[in-house]
Amino acid sequence: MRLPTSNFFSLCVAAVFVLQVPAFSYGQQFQNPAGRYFPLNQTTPAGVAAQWHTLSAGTTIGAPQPIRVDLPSGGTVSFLDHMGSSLETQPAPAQANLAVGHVYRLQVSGIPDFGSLELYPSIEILDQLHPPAGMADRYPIPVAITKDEIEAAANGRMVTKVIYLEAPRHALGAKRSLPEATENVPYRMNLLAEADRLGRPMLILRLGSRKPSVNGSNHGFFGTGGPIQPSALYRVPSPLHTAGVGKAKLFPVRQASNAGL
Amino acid sequence: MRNSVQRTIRTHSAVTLGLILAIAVSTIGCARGPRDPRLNAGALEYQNMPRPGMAAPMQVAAMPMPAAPARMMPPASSSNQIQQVTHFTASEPRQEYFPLECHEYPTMEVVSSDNDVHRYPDEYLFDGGDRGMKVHYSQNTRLGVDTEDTFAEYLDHTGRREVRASNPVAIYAPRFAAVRTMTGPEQDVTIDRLAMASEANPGAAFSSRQTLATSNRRSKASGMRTRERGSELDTIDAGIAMLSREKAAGNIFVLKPLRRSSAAAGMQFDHSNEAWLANRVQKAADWSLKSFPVVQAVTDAAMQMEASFKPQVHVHIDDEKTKGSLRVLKMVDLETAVPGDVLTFTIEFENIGDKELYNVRIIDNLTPRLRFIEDSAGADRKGRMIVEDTDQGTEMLIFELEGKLDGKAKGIVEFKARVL
Repeated sequence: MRLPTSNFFSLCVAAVFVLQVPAFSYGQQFQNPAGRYFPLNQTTPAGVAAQWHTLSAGTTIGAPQPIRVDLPSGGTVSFLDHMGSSLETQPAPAQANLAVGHVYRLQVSGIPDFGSLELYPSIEILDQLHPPAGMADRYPIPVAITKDEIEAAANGRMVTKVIYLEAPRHALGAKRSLPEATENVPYRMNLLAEADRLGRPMLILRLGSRKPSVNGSNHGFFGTGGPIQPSALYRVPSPLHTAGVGKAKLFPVRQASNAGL
Repeated sequence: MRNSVQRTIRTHSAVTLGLILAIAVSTIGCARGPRDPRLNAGALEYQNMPRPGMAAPMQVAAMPMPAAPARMMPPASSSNQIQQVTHFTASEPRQEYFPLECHEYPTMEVVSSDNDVHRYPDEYLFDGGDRGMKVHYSQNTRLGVDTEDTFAEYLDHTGRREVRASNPVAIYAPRFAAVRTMTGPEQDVTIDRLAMASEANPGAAFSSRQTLATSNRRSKASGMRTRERGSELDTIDAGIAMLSREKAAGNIFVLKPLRRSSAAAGMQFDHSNEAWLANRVQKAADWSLKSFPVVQAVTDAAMQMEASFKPQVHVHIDDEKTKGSLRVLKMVDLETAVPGDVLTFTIEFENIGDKELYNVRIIDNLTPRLRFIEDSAGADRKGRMIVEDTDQGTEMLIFELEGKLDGKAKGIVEFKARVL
């Protein structure tokens, strides 16, 4: 069959537009207001952002970083190895040392109010913290999975969340911490660029309803094979601290109101 | 003629199609990497690799392969070389593989140092110092107070206002937040109203209509009237400033008197002569008006001066007291904290000069991540405390000391704040 000439040229012109327009919009999408270009986004295959981040940010690939997984109303969290075997199974909140630059698969089950629902979220570790010596277990990266996220995943939706380290000088005055400090953004936006604008991206959580195949191959499903080591969950002590300085005898100062000025 | 044109177009379309196919093929070829014959050979070798349950490599090498060895090893094709290339080893992986049975990672202890405060300041909570623009006064207005700033202001013995900043303190207290997106069938679909329902098609029970927020904006942005009004063509046509200037033709009337005067005198003058003559006439007029005779007279008279000297005593007092100056030192009881912890801050101030200071005020504009705990402040000197809410979403603590602060005197102010 031979195409008519006019149809052929129309097809060529249409092909040029089809190929060029998405490329243009793709380039426009991943440039933040500061002018920085972000070639990666949340739809990039898992593992690529972590590898790029460890290369560019000077973070040591394979460095251990404690991760704490919180569930809304309890449950069980298993850290799976690259073969799908559970190396660490703990009741929520669960905490383990994972390697920076790797992708891990978790198994979340036994969530109250969700019956026998099992979810397999993946976490991609982009960066690490640098706490003082001996304090690493006290400062894990919190991964808080909320109830609405579990419901969304159970209904076939895909939840992608980038957890970032908040820039202290850009912090809001209101008391907010995870999971309350989660901002919903349109799916067209680049989550990595948005997290970079607000702080330092640390981790990508992907939560969907995909499960490991029973009969087929699970190549790449269980992550990149990074190590998993236990980490002690730090229990917050009683917030009663006494001053170590100022031994002079103090008396309460008279607190005035603003109207008195 | 028409057939020849169609033949030409058909030929060009065929050439264009061929070029597109060639570019596509070359692009795919480039994406797959250079065409190294050894890669193809490796692929063949990989197919010959023994799999579990298959024969040993030596048995594979003993198999007669007349054509393949010539491609793999160009110089010669002996049986030894065939055996050599049969032992295929996979290339080294780009990323180091760590088997789970032997964890050879470094210790989990992450060593921190003071340099980490400067390398990773986003993991710390700072308070104190004078960040950004320095705190100063301009026409009795205090400027440059940023969050985290801690400073003292006072009047010295001359009444001059001074500002001294404290040192900053750093507490390791990282805080996290998240950005999230949910994708799925319901993403960004807004149903305005139920437009149709049909019992015959229960699978498609309703049709949704997506609201377009931008359609109203486009209809309202009718800017054509503004453009028509803005065109000042009528004004330009009516003004015709160029024509008016040409009609004035001032140069013609200026030149005519000159020609007329020169013709009446019967002489030839040019412009320079006229200017010279005018200058001479002007000088003659000036001489007649200003250069008249002047008579000067000097009268010498006797003068008498009287002077009286009184004894005086100069008294000099050496004041060796130095000017008063305040040193502010800020301290905190914890080096690390998590949200919810209570920190105790101590601000120590000392007049390192000899002279007194007046109206001493210690001011701490807390960082947004600290919240002052009510009734937790104390001091070793009498005074009062004021808590102000700033427009930056922070709390500003102001400690006002009573009386003057003598030279070499010191004191402390203490308060508690909770980490948010």
